[in-house]
Amino acid sequence: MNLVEVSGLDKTFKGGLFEKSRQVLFDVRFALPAGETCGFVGGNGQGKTTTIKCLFGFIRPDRGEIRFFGRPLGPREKKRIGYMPERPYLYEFLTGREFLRLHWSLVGASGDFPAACESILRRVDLSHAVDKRLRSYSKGMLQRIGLAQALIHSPDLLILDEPMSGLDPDGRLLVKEILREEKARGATIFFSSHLLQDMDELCTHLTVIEAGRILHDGAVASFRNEHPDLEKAFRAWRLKHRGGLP
Amino acid sequence: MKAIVTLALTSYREMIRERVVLVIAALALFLVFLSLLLGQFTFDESERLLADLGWAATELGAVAVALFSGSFLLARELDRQTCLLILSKPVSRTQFLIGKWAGTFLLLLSLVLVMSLTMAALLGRFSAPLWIIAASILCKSLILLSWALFASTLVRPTLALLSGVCLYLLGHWLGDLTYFAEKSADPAAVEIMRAARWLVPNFDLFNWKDHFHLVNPPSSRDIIGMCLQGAAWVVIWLAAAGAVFRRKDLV
Ligand SMILES: Nc1ncnc2c1ncn2[C@@H]1O[C@H](COP(=O)(O)OP(=O)(O)OP(=O)(O)O)[C@@H](O)[C@H]1O
Ligand SMILES: [Mg+2]
Repeated sequence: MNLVEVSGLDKTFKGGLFEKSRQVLFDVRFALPAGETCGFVGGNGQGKTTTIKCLFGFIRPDRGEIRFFGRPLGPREKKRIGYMPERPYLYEFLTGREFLRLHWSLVGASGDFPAACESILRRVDLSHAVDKRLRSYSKGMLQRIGLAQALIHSPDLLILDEPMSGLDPDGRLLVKEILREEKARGATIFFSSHLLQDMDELCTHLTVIEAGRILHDGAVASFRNEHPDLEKAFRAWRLKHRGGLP
Repeated sequence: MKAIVTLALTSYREMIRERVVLVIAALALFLVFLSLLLGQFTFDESERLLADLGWAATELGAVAVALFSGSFLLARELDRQTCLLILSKPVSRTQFLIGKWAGTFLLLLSLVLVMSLTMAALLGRFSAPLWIIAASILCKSLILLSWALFASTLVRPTLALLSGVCLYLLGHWLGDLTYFAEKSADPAAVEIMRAARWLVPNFDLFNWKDHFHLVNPPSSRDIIGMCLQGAAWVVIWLAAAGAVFRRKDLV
């Protein structure tokens, strides 16, 4: 079964008075199979964030259909999704605990908040900063509390925009560890990155976007083919399909 | 509904902790104390001076907070991507907007309350006009807040702020301008002013500061009228803001 199905997304950003309109998504289509860790790869400015924002309806696509759990996105579906935006800056005057409580009550999660809070903070290694204001958090800490917010209600589907950017090596390891745990719990994960190494270690499914078009959507193995790693596979793929560019 | 309350309380807490708001409140309180000090030198008029200055300071503070937070609210949410986080939860854009509005409402309510109570304590007078004036100032600032919020969905925050200031001034001059238009007997001017009455709230209706010194409080009909007018403007502009915000791409 596919948890997410996207078909035929087009998006053109309307230009202002002096700018040209610009189409950034062209017939984007992909499907995320349940229970898998799905990577969303593409270089800078290829349309990853725009696609993810379309999924949630933050950006209205001009055309196309998006289904979560077989239905259009509504409150019921939203409760089952955890999301972390690119560069989360968050409410800087709240403490970590207040921030998590806000999201806990907005998803209408039932259960014991203090316990959930403790456990998630331990997992993202922020227990020491729980009562500090987010204003005093470092970039990596913000990234981690952003992740905590996405995980606290044990969602079935995780959508993370560049969860590892801006983290030091330890932080990256931690995030990878968490993603593995989430997968083991049974969650479906969709995360974007422009680094193929991350994908190689974690993903079973790969969606590749370039210049707003989906180049590949399927199992990692089929993309990798006989190549030793994704990096090489990607390069070979490019040579074949676009005739160049290193 | 629960989402709106949660959002309102959270954003209220956020704003209270922000220094800008505290600075404005402190400044307004300082003005009240200053007027008290000045009052020491003008013996018989001291109470009147204190009341006038105090109300002016309260209104200035409330209007400033309303216009600033209204104009910059959405831009800041988009900047920090906080609104994306909230909207990825089971919260609609309309609920989000109302929640944020309600949070600012709580802030303005506390500001006006603190100022009014300080004045009442200084003057030793907790009379009915006190509450009516406080309510009228709150009404006025809520109208401006809703306008600024609406304007900020259309134009840049600074421009929205500027338009709010213009609205505030126009709303106060509406009576005078209408008077001049009628005096000039120019039909075009009269027509323009008639149209303006439908676009600009008449803030003279919300101006009861002088009642503090009068014995008779305003009639309850006037008070209800004021509240209804205020509520109507708030609803209209909030609905307009919602209509635009729902269609916006949140990039
Ligand atoms: N509001 C906007 N108006 C016009 N163009 C935009 C807008 N937002 C994004 N774009 C353009 O759309 C393209 C895709 O941007 P997007 O943010 O989706 O890329 P990305 O794959 O997430 O890149 P990165 O790895 O840098 O995050 C870019 O070329 C960008 O310039
Ligand atoms: Mg991006």
